[in-house]
Amino acid sequence: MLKRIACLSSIDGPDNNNRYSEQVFNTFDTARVYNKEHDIVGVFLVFKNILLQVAEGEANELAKVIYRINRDPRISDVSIIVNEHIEKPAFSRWSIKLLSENCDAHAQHLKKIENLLKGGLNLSGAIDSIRYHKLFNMGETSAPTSKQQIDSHEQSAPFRDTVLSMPSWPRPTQLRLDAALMKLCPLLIKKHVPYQRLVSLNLFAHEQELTELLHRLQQARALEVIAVAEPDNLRILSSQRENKAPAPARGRFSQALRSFISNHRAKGIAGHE
Amino acid sequence: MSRIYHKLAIVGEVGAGKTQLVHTISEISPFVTEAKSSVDIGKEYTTVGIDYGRLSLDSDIALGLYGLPGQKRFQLLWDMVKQGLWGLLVLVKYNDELNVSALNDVLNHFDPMKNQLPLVIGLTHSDLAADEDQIDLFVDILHYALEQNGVTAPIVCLDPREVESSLLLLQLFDSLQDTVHDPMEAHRDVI
Repeated sequence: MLKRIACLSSIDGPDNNNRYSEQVFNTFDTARVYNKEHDIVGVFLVFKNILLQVAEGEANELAKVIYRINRDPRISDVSIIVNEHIEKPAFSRWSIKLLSENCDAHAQHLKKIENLLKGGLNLSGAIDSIRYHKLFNMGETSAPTSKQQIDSHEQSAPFRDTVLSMPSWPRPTQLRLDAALMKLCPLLIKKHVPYQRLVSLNLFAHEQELTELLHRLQQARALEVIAVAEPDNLRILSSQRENKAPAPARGRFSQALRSFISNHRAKGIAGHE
Repeated sequence: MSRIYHKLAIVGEVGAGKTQLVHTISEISPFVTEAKSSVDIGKEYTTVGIDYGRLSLDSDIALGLYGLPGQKRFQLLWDMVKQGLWGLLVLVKYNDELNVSALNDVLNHFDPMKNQLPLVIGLTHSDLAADEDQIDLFVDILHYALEQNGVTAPIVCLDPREVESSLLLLQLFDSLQDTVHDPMEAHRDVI
């Protein structure tokens, strides 16, 4: 008899020997090994200190899972919020998602999980309700109004009057970093940069090259685009970067490294011809 | 004109590919410090000291490559190269068990944020993953561990045997230099 359970809990703070990430990883790893051995599939969602484990498998095995979760010293306030019979599992394997705010991919994944659970959801207390909504409303911090504005912007001039940012580096499976992206990404990581400012840096020979790269980042869900209502406000921004020369030693080193790389590549290409 | 010598530290767990990467990049025969392993680690030899290699970029400009074991007990070696690093590459081997604790130890010791040290995480052996979902899962955990250390760094799949892979890596470190060495520019929210 197949069942699905969803279990909310709070991850306890790190103890003296373990950091928080280790705590999360160890909890996941224990579940991963056990679940693999007992044909249990599902997902392990972590947002800040909230942990939601959704598990599917044979009823007897899931009962043992619940027993193990309840006894895990690394988590507390364990609460079963879904316990239902299912025809077939919705998951094919056991995975983990460490959720980040403002990540569209994570928000979409959460939506799917939320839809999956809503039929059998049973939030019994206030704490459960708070944790559940905190977890599932996580993705809503990205302003939808800005996005709607951006859609209309995109039709005319793609990134004009926008501010761009990258909350994190793209995953290697999303986007392979090439030389052009390597030039652009460090400028946008954890910063908010008006598009016009990027243009003024003359990073690329043509503005079109810049917009193509930004599109690639956007398609890989690595770029945040925020529409700016009053672009005139951006005049206060200085463009120190283009005026500022790098320290001489660093400049020489960088120049030498770049020539070495391009010479090496040229030799490699010649060698293959 | 004065000579310029920069150092790139390559730290990684057993079998992550440190020695191979130093071999691939270095122009000189690297000075390697491998010893026969006493336990089964999937290969006969492992790094127990500093693998040293060098790349001359011009007559008076060079990059030193320092391959260092990733275990905390070798932190004496980490201290030897820590000062004035140009970059820190942490090699992580794709497998079933990511050693988050070892990664935390390295990040804690080198403290890239405080030292404004460009950091790249090189994921090796990613060809062993069954599919991209498995790599994503691994990268998720890596991202989380980095976040917990207050660090943002690119994670790139890397084949230490490939020259092109190592050239891209050097290029990436070069592109990270400007932002890291210009803290006002790097950390100020420009809006």
